[in-house]
This record gives sequence, structure tokens and C-alpha cells, in this order.
Amino acid sequence: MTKASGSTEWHLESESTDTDLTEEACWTLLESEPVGRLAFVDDGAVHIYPVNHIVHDRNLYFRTSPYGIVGTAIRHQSVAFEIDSIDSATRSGWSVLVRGTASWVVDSDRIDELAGRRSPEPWASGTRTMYIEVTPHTVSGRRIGKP
Amino acid sequence: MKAVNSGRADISGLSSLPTARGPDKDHQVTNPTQREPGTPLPPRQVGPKGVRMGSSAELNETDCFELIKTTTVGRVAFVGSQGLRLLPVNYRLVDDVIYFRTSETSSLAALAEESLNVLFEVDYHDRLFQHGWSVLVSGKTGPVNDPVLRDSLTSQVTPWAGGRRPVLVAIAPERITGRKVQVRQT
Repeated sequence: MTKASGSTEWHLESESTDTDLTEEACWTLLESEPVGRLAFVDDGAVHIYPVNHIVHDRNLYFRTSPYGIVGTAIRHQSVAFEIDSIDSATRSGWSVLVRGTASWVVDSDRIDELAGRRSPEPWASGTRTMYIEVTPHTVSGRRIGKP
Repeated sequence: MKAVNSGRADISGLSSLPTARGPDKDHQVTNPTQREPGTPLPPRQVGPKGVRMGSSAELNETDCFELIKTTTVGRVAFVGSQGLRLLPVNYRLVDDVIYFRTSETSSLAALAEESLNVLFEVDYHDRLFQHGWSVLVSGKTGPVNDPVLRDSLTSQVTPWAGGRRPVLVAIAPERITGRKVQVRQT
């Protein structure tokens, strides 16, 4: 690591680590965090929504309103999903990124399965009767912090 | 739903009215939302006492900027050459402009080379009390060319991850919105 002149920042950075997580570890973390962020493109603009999600059969699910922007915008399209956990005090944490395809859940058996899992109540208000499923294409994650 | 205690009117639907005997005892008998463990949750509507209800409230621009200052990790979403990207960054807000650093090889580096529309998100959530807030900033990206500002930011914006991250990216906000959410027992 080349040290920048007149600055100690590279030295500080070189003390931290940046480790890729295995896919297995990513799924464990995806199950451990109740809130993630969903990004998608609608009408040419990028949107991000924090969502309460659950993991089921290696897919991601969340509940939304069929009348809100997430419910109406998402048909069958590419999405990105992110979760992280950070500790400002130790300047460490991890993040998991999922890229996949989101679609409405229309299979009634699957809806029953999800309802039976007592999925987390969305923290926001409104009627959220619709399930969105994200089928992952890629799952990656990293852990950063002091060794 | 009928009240089972004879001699009293059915009070279901009137749970907010005070009663001399206290609100809960009768209410548990008549509350139609009582359910067995393991059964699906009912639709979350405005309902009688005991139903968990969520609430959302919009935040004004001043509140949004104040909240952005309270944390140091945000997420940047944009459509790049490889499609939709959503990536966490360590950032700093200086004079209402968001700055972050990245490496030359990151897909984020393209944001310093051309002005792209991005969405920047920060949030906070408390699992125990089930409340939180989120702030969204849409804006345009660009490089940081002023050497004085570059030096200042390089010492202020320190990525937690290892590696050399010499590329500074600015996001000039064009629109900022936020909301807070909370689940509460009614």
C-alpha cells in the first residue's frame, strides 16, 4: 500500500480488512436481518424502498400493498436488494447484495406457506396483502473491519 | 360477535370507551381479532384495541438533512453499464452535498466521470421498538476537482473497507424526501 504524502489515511485503511462472504454466509445474514432495501427502475427512474423481508426456499419475500408504487410497478423485472449491519464505533460491519428478478406471488399454496410463517409485520402503515418474490441471480457479500 | 357475559350490551367496536371495570377484561372476550397461535395474521386495518398498527409520516427537507448527518453509511442506486446497482458507501455531507470515495475499479467510479442520476438512501431501524426512518436523495453525480476540497474530503470521508479509494464522487441533491414508520399497540 502506497502511503499518500501528507496524510495518514492510507495507513488507517490498510489496517482494515475486506473479506468476501460465502453464499452460505450471505443467506444466514439475509435471514438474520428484518429490514432490507429494494431498488428497482420504474419509468426510467431508480427507486429504493426499505422493506421488511423474509427468506423462504432461498427466495426473498416481502409484503406490500397492491395499490402502492412497489406493488403496481413491479411485474417481472430486475431488482437489487441490500442488507447491512454497521457498527460506527468499531468502523466495521457487513453487507449482502442480491440481484434478481421480482414478481408477484400468485400461487395460492405459496401464499399460504408464507402466511403460515407468520412473516414480520411491515412497520409502515397500510394494507399490505400482496407478496412480492425476489428470485436471486447473484448473491454476494463482504465483511469489513479491523482484523 | 356477541358478548358472552349476559346482562351487558355488546361492547365490541366500542373498545376505546372507558369502562368502570377497566378496558381489558371484557375486551378480550369480544375482540374479534383474537387468534390462535400459528394462524395467519389478519389484514392490518384500523381496528379494535390490541391490533398492531403501523404508522407512516413524511419528513420535511430540514429533518431529512439533519438525519443524513446522524449516520455515515448510505446506499447508492443507479443504472450503470452493468444494469441496476445498489451499493453501500461511507459518505459525508458537506454544505448539503453528499461525498463518498471509491476505488478506480469499482462500478461507482463511473459516477465521478459522468453526471448520472442516482438515488442515495440512508435509514435507521430499531428492531426492539419497531420504528425507523429513511431518507431518499435523488441527485446528479460528478467529480470533485477543487484541490482544497479534495484534500479536505479525503481526510473527512474514510471508507471502512480496506484498499485504496482515491476516487471522490459528489452527489448534488435535487430532491430529498423521507419518512418515519412505527408499529404501535393500540
